[in-house]
Amino acid sequence: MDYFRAIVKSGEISERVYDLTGIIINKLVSNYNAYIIRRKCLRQMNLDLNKEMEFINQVTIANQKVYQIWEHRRQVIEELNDFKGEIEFLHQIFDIDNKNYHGWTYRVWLCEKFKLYNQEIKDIQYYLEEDIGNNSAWNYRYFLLTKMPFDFNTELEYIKNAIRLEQDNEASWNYLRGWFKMFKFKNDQENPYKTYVQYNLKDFNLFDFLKEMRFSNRFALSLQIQYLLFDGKFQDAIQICEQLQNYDLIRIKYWQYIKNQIIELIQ
Amino acid sequence: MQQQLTIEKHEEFIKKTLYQQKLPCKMDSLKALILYCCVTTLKLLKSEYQCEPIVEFLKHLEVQPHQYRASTFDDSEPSIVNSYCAISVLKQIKQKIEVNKESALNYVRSLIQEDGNIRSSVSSNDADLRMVYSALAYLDLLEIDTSEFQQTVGKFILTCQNQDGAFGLRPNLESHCGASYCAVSSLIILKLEIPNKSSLIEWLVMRQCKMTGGMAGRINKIPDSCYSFWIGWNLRLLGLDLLDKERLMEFLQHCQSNYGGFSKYPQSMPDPIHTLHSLLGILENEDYDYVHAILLN
Repeated sequence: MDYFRAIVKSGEISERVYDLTGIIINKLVSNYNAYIIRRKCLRQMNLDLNKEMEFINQVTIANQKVYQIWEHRRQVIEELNDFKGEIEFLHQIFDIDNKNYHGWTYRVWLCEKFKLYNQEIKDIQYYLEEDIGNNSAWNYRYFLLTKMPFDFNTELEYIKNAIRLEQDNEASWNYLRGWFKMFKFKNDQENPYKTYVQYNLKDFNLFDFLKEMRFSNRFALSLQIQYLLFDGKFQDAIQICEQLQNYDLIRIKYWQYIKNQIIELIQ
Repeated sequence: MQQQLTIEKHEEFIKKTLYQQKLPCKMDSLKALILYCCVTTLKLLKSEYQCEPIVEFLKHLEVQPHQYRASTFDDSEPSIVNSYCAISVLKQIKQKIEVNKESALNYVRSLIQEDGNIRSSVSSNDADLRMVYSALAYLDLLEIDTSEFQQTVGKFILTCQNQDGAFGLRPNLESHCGASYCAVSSLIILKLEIPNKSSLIEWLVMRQCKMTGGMAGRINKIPDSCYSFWIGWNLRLLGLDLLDKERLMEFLQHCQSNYGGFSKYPQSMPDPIHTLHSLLGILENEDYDYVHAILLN
């Protein structure tokens, strides 16, 4: 460490310094000074960036949730201006942990940088088939679709089928809800800086679909409440809250809170 | 419920951590954070501690007025998270701070990116809602007006809100409990409205797991003890108390270590971060400052 400090102070850029940064990174992967100096070496000595990617891959596999190595990766790829091998590497990472937040964060950057939307919308299919509960994948799917023209009716069928496969999968229900505007109670304000691609529930008849679900399915019941609220059927909505106080016991206080909010509407 | 908590063991665990001279070098950069966790826990448990060594220790980390780095070992720059932890500790132990407004403001200004996001330190690109929260809470604790950041930083926070009402660490990223707490408390400091509250509240309460009673950080992830804090306190910020505390306690009991402290999952090693956040999530206390994540008295 003292040796490294001396190098930092001297400002030396050389093969031995480059090697030293590699040693430091392997031992103290979050030491950001090491990366700064390593990148200086890469630039000034015009080193092989593809070889650097091999080093980065090895360090990332050993330290999958450390910000600095992902940021270093991003900077080197930006310099290379080529995403070759990146999707394959991400597959490796997601094979280990398919919800790695750093991995998906990087993937969003990669997709936007190289405009990979069209190939990614096909690729995301694989993750959802492999684990339909993978909320990171569903989130990424939403991100991709908001950047391209698509037919919502087709997408709606896709979501319904996903839900039919696993009726208790919160991720697919959350994804479904995300496409619709929710009922606004008096304290609900719009987000002034975000326009969500969202539709009106009333324009899409999901009643028959919701009836396919088990009677105690809290996600289906919650959506039923939304429909009833939009329809002004407040008493019916209150009844569903009461049902949920039985079926979703852990959230008894929440459903009481919703019930109270609806009662306020009636008054 | 208090009887199920082995408070004395937790106190002992925290005191041992606080007075430990050497941490493994990988944890060295977490010293200020660990200090914050220890002090806040001891205050919560109304335990005795010495202020002098804490003040002295923090002096060694202070690089410029109100700018603190992680540790003396790795020569890092001061970072906003460490600075927040340091100021938070000083406030809690009631140390008088000679506030240098310009120094603190200029420090934060030097960390703001074009999009309104805030970096952790001057040379780093690590920027997300955690740093945003740290910066705003830091200024607010020093009683410095943050309104100049409403348009830039405030706007950035709002672009992190997802279609499900919760917030990701940056725009387009998956909704996450920690990010959501940081977003809501930051918006409160900036005196900005929190949009889509109903969706956010439903998203938050859905994090409580029917099977174990524990809180998960994202959809379909396994419960982690510290989310008792991130979710519970987020709901408190919105004026609500909606979690099932008894079921939560069932889960936290399994995270309680025989040696004191809480671990993130049942049957793993305890650490001060999870110890603090489990206790903050399960104990009631009238002196909670939900916005700054500290105890006032």
